[in-house]
Formats: sequence, structure tokens, C-alpha cells
Amino acid sequence: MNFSEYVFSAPYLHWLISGAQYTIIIAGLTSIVSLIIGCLVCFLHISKQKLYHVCALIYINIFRNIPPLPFLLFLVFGLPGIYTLLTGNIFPRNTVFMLLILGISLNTAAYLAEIFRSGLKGVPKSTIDSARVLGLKPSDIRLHILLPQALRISFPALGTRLIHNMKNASIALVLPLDVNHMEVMGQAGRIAGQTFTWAEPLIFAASVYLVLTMMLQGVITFFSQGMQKKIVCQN
Amino acid sequence: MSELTVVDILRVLLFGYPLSAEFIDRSYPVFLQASGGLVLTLIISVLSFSCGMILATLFASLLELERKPIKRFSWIGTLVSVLQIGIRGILYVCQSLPILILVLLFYYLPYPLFGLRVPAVLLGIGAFSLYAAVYLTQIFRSGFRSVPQGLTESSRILGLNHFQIFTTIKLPCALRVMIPAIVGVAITVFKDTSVLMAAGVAELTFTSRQLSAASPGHYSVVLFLVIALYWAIASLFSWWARSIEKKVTIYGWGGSV
Repeated sequence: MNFSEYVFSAPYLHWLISGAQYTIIIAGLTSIVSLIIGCLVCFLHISKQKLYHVCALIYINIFRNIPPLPFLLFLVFGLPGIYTLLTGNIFPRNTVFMLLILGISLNTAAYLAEIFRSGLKGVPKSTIDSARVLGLKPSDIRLHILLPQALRISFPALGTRLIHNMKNASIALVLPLDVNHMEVMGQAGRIAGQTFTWAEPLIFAASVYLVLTMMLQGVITFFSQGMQKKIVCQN
Repeated sequence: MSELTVVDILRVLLFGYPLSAEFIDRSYPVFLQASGGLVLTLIISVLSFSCGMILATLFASLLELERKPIKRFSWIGTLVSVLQIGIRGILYVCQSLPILILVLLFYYLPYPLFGLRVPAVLLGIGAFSLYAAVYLTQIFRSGFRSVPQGLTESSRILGLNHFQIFTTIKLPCALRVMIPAIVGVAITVFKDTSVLMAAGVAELTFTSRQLSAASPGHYSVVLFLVIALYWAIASLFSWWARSIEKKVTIYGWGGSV
């Protein structure tokens, strides 16, 4: 174990820190994209139209049952071939980072859609009925009655899934990202490729993930406690 | 290079490339070396899930051990509390780390730390056992807590001993609640074995990389087949699990853990 040579020396520490920054960036971007896709799929799932409902069911079934790593490999290595076959053009270059974001988000969105749906289902029907009796418009009911309560119910599960989402960012190790867009595992692998030592950079990367998970967990606990307090006050 | 058909690709994906005799290492089971592809993925998932169940039983029973009965023997009490702190630490760290990092830690650390050379398959099974055990421990603990206190108390009044209470009252009640979550962990372990590719274990995803290196033109087809295989097995399993769940749950009691 020689941390001073392989982790805390001139270029390597810089690489690892930029990797840690990109881990956070990947986690943030995928969270946002997956929240958007998850909401859309959830709306499709609860819509009265049979076709939309079935589409959402198929999406959720597919993406909950395939592991993210082979799916990302398919996006990065398999998609260009299919694109060329269909359109005759060459797939645009330097899209690996975008495909990474897209792949992880599509995976997380399937889970998020289920979480949102169970949150909406958890709101008691009598609440909505009484809001209707009081003369609220359907749009007002959705925005001010249904949405806040559903969010409160699904928040713990949402937080767990977002932590999983951040952990999934480590899969970027196996993708051919360019050097400036690698996350911390990718940078650890890059150091290992130059120095033939995996142990020290790997331990550094593991502690980065440990700290990030702890921080995200803390933030989620803080917010969910606030929400619990609000529920108590309202009652 | 000869042209590959879909049947050839599927055969390699299912069973992996055949192992030549000179590479066989007699120091650990040959079936782990001779198999590859989907078969090896399934073997690893089953083995590590079973090891995980055993480990989780151990962890959960140690964590739930009451301090009172062993207070007299003070050094046993100290040992138990030290073990409990250790298990809590392991659970916390393994829950916070991505499975890819856990696998790579298992793969790269034994040699520089202890000078051990262990085959990658065994290390992978070890990592996944721990990964499964961490989640199963939480499920077991909350499952057994969900058994109402009154049930065990009344069975004690009826004259059942501790062993009888456990096997006939606590275990069946807790299992009903736990089964969906346990199956969920099994599916997660199966899906996440794809990560072992990074440690060079010849499972399904790794075999697809080998195949693509042998015939680069087929990469789209190969990867599509890989995803389809993972999807088929995982959804078959979850469909089966849902039918069990319907049979086992009692309406209005328990619920998800």
C-alpha cells in the first residue's frame, strides 16, 4: 500500500478529483433526466387510454428486468451498427457521455415510474372526493391536493432509488469515455493502466462513493424528516 | 474467419467457449472453469444467493441476540457486542458501495494485502454472497420483527418451547412477509452478476465481449441477444415470484417489508 505515490502525487490526485466531480455531474444529470422520464411514464401508466397504459407497462417491464451494464454496452457498441444499417449514415462521434446519461436514466426511470404510481395510489380517495365537493377545479386538485401528498408518500423510496442511481454511475468504468469525462472509477482504472496498481486508486474511489452516498443519505433524511413534520402539523 | 449464424452465437452465449485441458486448475471445482456464458451466470447467482442466505442468517441472528441471557459470562457478552459492531460496519459499508467497486475490491485487494492468489470466480462468488447477505439481513430482521409479540407470548403460555415457537410460529409468519423481498434480492443478484465482466469472470456479458472480439461485425446482434436473455430469465423469475406471492400472502396482514 503506497498511497503517497499512486494517489496523492502530482497528476493522479488531479485525475481522481476531476473524476469525483464527474461522478457528481453524472449522478445529477441522470437524476434529472430520469425524474422527467419517470414522470412521463407514470402519466402514461395512469392514463385512461389503453394504448398508453400498455406502452408504459412494457417500458417498465423491460427496463426493470435488464441489468444496466449490458444495456449500456448495447447503447455504446451496438447502437452505431444498427443506426448505420437503418439510415446508411455513420453514427455521430463523441456521444458516449450522452449515451451513458441516457442509459442510466432509462434504467432508473422505470423504477421511478413505479414509485410515483404507488405514491399516487397511496393518496386516500376520500381526500380527492372532498376536494371535489369543496369545488376545486380538477387541475387544482392535482396540483395542490394530489401531488404534494403523493410526493410525501413516495419520498423515502425515491431517495433510495436516487442513491442506487448514483451508485450506477460506477458502471462508466467499462465504457470508452474520453479522458476528460471519466468518473472516479474510470480515472482509477486509468491510473491502474499507467502504474499497474489497482489497490490504492480503487480504495480512493470506494471512499469517494462512500462519502457521496453518506451525504446524499443525509440530505434525503433531512428532507423526509421535514416532510414528516409537515404531515404531523397538518393533522 | 467463418460466418457465424445466430445458432452459433446463441450456443456460445449459453455455454461459453470450451475450456482446453491444459488450463484446468485442480485446486478448485472444475465445473466453475469449464462452464461459461449464461450457465456460469446462473451457477454464480445460485451459489452466491445460497451463501448469502447462510451469511444473512448468521448476521441477523447475531444482531438480534439479546444481551440479557449471556450477561453472566462477561467475555461472551463482550465478544458478541464486538461482533455486532463489526457486522453493523460491514452492512453499512457494503450498502453504500456500488457492486462494481465491491467486486473489484474483492478482486484486486487480496494479493497486495495478504499475498493470496484466489481464482476470480471464487472471489466473485464471495463478493456477491456478501452483497446478497447485506440486503437479506435487513429483510430477515424486519421480517421477524413484523411477527406480533402477542403471538409468541400466547404460544409460550400454551407451553411451546423456544425451538417450537421459532419453527412453528415465528418462521412461517415471517416467511410470508419476507418472500417477495427475498425473491427481489435473488433477481437483483442475477442481474448484477453482469458486473463480474470487469473482473474477467467468463459469464454472459464477458462472453459477449469475447464473441465480439472474434467477429466484430456481429456486435449489435450479440449484445441484443445478451439483453434478451437477461430480460427473459429475470422476467420469468419475477412472474413466478408474483404467483407465489399471491398464494402465500394473507389479505390484510403483513404487507411488504
